[in-house]
Amino acid sequence: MSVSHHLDDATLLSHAAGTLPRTLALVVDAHLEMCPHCRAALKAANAIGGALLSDLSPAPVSSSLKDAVMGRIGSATIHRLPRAQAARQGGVPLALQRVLRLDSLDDIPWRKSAPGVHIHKLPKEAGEAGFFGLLKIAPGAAMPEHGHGGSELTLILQGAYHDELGHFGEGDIADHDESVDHTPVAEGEQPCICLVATQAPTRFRSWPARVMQKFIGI
Amino acid sequence: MDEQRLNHLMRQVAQNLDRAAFAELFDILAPRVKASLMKAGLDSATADDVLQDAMISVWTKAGLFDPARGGVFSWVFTIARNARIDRARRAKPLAPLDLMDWEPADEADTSEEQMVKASETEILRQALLTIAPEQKEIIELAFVQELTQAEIASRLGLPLGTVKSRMRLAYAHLKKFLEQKS
Ligand SMILES: [Zn+2]
Repeated sequence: MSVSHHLDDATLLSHAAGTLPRTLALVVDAHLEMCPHCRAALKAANAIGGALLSDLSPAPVSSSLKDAVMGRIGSATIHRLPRAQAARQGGVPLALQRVLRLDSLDDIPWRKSAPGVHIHKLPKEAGEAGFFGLLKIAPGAAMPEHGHGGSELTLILQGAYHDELGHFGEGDIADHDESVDHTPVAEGEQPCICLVATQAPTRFRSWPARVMQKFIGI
Repeated sequence: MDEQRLNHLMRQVAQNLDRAAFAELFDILAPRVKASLMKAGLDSATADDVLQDAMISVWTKAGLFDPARGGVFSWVFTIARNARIDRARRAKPLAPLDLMDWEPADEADTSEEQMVKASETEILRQALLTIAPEQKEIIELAFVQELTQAEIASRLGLPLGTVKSRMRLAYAHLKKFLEQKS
């Protein structure tokens, strides 16, 4: 897998700061699993947080709190070794497994939404707007109009497409502000499966998200 | 801040479960983590709960800390951030993934990674002094006050696109600074 479309630096900084909405953060985590480039960039962003932390004037911490922590560490379980690297079984990143609860993309209970378009919604929490779920788009599915909207992340889990922003294949993330004007073309034989999170019910930019909007009316 | 000392203390905790070393680490780290939680708008009781969670994670996860991959402060920053998010989600647990938990130990350093070494904190502290004030403001609102991009935009009365572009500029500036100095 050779990832060529990465996270926007602003997305990366917000993720490091821990302020991305949960659904977007989960798509970012899934991309990070697949992308050493963005993992390295995230470390630099975390270091900015570390520098700001070290610069803060200390706030008083009660001695009883320190005593409580010193008491609790006696019985705390030590994390000895890093977990083995996530087995991305069946093409499902770890971050996604935790909400999908399936080991394989093959096991997803797709719901047909339109010719060539299947959808599987993921659970949202109270107060979360926008779309959060998986899309499966057959090669040759129709191309809806383009638009501008709020935050939107689309991670390609399987298959590929290309538009004027380039080739999007497995592991690539569409995280851009620009609208897309040209007709995108699905590549290869297999359907394109994407993980999509949007922040607001609005008009989307990436091809899979626009396909979704056209057919599902989100 | 003596990073060598911090690294030494971390090693003592990781290798020997050294309580005295941890107590010294606690005195350096906990008051700053507490300050960051208060600045992020947590009330004092919640801040204390998150602080306890964070400091216990420092103890239990010390063995996962690798000074070759970054400074103690950036590691503790991520520990405290995750503790805050975990606490907020307690009813519906979904902890953020911890890169250190699953990243392969032998993953080759990229050039970007190499710049994030033990002296990163000091380099970045200096770099933050050189950044344009309007970029610094946004970085602090994001990392210290923990506002979303949309919240920053409305707080400052700026279009979202401007907030994003200032974040990008700030990141590019800090990254360049790190590359030059390392
Ligand atoms: Zn990437």
